[in-house]
Amino acid sequence: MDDAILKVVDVSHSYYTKKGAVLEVIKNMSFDVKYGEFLGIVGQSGSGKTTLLKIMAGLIKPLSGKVLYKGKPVTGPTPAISLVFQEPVLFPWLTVLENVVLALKRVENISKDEMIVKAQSFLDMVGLSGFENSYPGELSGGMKQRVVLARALVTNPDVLLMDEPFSNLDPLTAISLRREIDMLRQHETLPPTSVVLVSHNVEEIVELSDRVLVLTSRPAQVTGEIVIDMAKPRDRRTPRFYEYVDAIFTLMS
Amino acid sequence: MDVLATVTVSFLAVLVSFLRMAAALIVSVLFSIVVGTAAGVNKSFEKVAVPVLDILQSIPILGFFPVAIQVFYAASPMFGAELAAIFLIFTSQVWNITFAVYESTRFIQPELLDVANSMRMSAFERFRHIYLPACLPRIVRNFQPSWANGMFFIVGAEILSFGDVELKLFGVGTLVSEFAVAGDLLGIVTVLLILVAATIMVNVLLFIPLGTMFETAGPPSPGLLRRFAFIKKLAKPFQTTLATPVISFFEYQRSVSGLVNKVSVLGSLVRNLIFLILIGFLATLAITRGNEFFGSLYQTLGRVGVDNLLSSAVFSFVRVMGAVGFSVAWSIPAAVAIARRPQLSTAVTTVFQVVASIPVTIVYPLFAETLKDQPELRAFVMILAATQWYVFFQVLAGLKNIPRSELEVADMLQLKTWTRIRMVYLPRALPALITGCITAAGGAWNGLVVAERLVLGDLVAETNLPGLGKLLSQLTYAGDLLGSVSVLIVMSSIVVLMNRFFWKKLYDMVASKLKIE
Repeated sequence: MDDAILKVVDVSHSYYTKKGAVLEVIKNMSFDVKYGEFLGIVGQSGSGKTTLLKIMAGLIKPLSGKVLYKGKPVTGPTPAISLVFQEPVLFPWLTVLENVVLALKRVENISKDEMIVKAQSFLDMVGLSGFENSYPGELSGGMKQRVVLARALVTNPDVLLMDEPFSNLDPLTAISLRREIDMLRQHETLPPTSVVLVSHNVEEIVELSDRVLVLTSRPAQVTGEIVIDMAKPRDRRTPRFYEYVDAIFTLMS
Repeated sequence: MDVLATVTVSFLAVLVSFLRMAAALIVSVLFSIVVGTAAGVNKSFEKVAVPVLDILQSIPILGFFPVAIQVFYAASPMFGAELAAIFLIFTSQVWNITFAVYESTRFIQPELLDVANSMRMSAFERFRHIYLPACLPRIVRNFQPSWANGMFFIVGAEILSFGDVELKLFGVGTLVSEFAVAGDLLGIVTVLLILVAATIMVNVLLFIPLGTMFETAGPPSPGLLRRFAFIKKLAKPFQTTLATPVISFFEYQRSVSGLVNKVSVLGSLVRNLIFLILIGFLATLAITRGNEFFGSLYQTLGRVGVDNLLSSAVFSFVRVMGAVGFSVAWSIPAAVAIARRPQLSTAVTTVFQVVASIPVTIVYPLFAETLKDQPELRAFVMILAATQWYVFFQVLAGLKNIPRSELEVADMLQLKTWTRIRMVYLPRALPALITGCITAAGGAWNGLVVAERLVLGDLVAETNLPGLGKLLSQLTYAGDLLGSVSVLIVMSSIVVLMNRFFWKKLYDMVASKLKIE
């Protein structure tokens, strides 16, 4: 058995534009997500990063190629792989707790009470105790993204995919949420095993990732890989940090 | 009559009726552009026009009979009958278009008007380059529902009588009634087939392409549509590419419910009363030349009877709510079933919109024998025909407008069908459902005048139990102006009260429950 929990194998995907032209978004992409790693994927806006994540999550079927989770093809969404969207999408008519419980409905052999206890504990973990009965409309952007995170983690996924989760937050909230994700990762017992973070923000990627894949713009292909060997939490002001940032920028341009 | 003659005369009848409809539609558009733009541009005119439009759209076609006859027929007996018919069709086509124009000119980006000011555009240039382009897309999208609405009442427009005056114009309505009276089943079927074919043609060749014309800014479409490319050209600055296809019945909805939202409850009740009483009594005064006016007023109330009015109102209310309830019951599952299948929902939408334009009043003679002993069922089916489409199309539009991201989350969380319907689809469809019910109920009240008592020339089919529509129809055809005005007042008051104290409340309740604006 190799060390990959999720394998992207020769994936290509295109869209049809309204005029009938074919728009290649991803071309022959292959890479592994290893057990226990925090993988950063960086590319310019509109380079098909979101499409890639949706393919990895099983939301979109790629035109060719496949995604393997523990050696088995991913054919649709599964509780083992969670995806956090760029926009915090919550159902406004459900309370925070109900939104999280919604993710547990697909889990078998779990009672209603257990669902609530579990959802509650994950809300505590992301720092939202006391907001269970609030509605999403009453929360700030950062709090909403935390609810989304709790909802993504509540099924104990092996892989957490994150699509620019900080880009719609104000800078301060983004900093604290990044810190928290870092802290969650330090927990030995907590899911997920591996995290994939997609972003166009290079500093963010360098701060959090163990390994970074750099994508070309459309159609997206992997043009380079950088292993970041720095202890966490990482200080953005060190020269070492900026060496990594520069290296990535060089690969991107 | 041999077959060829039947076919020829049926063809001519459909042609003549369609020409009348087209004439009325053209007048409706012109009227709407003038009145709607004026209301959108001029604040003080807006204050008068919007409530008046609200009242006018709540008056069923029979309410316009006296005006049609007194104004048009009296003015010129030669062309008057034709003009009266076109006027009546116009009254069932125009209001949603006018409101669409008003809304699109009223809410033009202020920046655009600033630019026009700074460029010192003349009033005409402003109209040509700003107001007209702004309202054209919604005008053409309202064609289809307006046409369907006009066809529903075509029989009433072609065979109109008020007291001693009876006008019968050649057209589908008249022809079908003649065939029905003569028991000529073949004739009825022939007219119906030609009518259905013509309706499909008008929809497929004209309304559907016109309605979708503004959706994509692609190359000019082939064939007939190219001739209408000038409309698109006129509206160029306001072309937008829409993500979801336009459902023209939804446009209608938007127009009518928008109108409802513009007027305050007490205000509209009071205005309704004043307007109807004023117009009604003034008209009566003019007609009776003041002779024994107050005597006749007293007589009217005695003749119609307050208890009669009330019991009629109750029965009509039950029929309307029954029809709305039935529409809701089938619309939700049907819309949920097709909403997420784009090709299927496009197909169903197209078919339903065409079906909705085939007037049930003309189809009725075909089933007259079967339904003869079931007057309540017949009335119910007819009210339903004036009701259900609004509910269905509105729910469908609501479901289609569910944000993509919410659907993706639902996929991601692998929500099971029932959870998905309960947690995502229904909450999103509910507000749309209620606005749909408002329009549907309005349509149902208007439809009562033919549903409770269908007058097809000498063929009259009415419910045994009382109803406001039946009462209004009886009084109008008997030429009792004061009587019909009193029924109209009761009817429009019920509509306004229901809108304000039931539907609006329900909507607010649902909106706050769903935490949506």
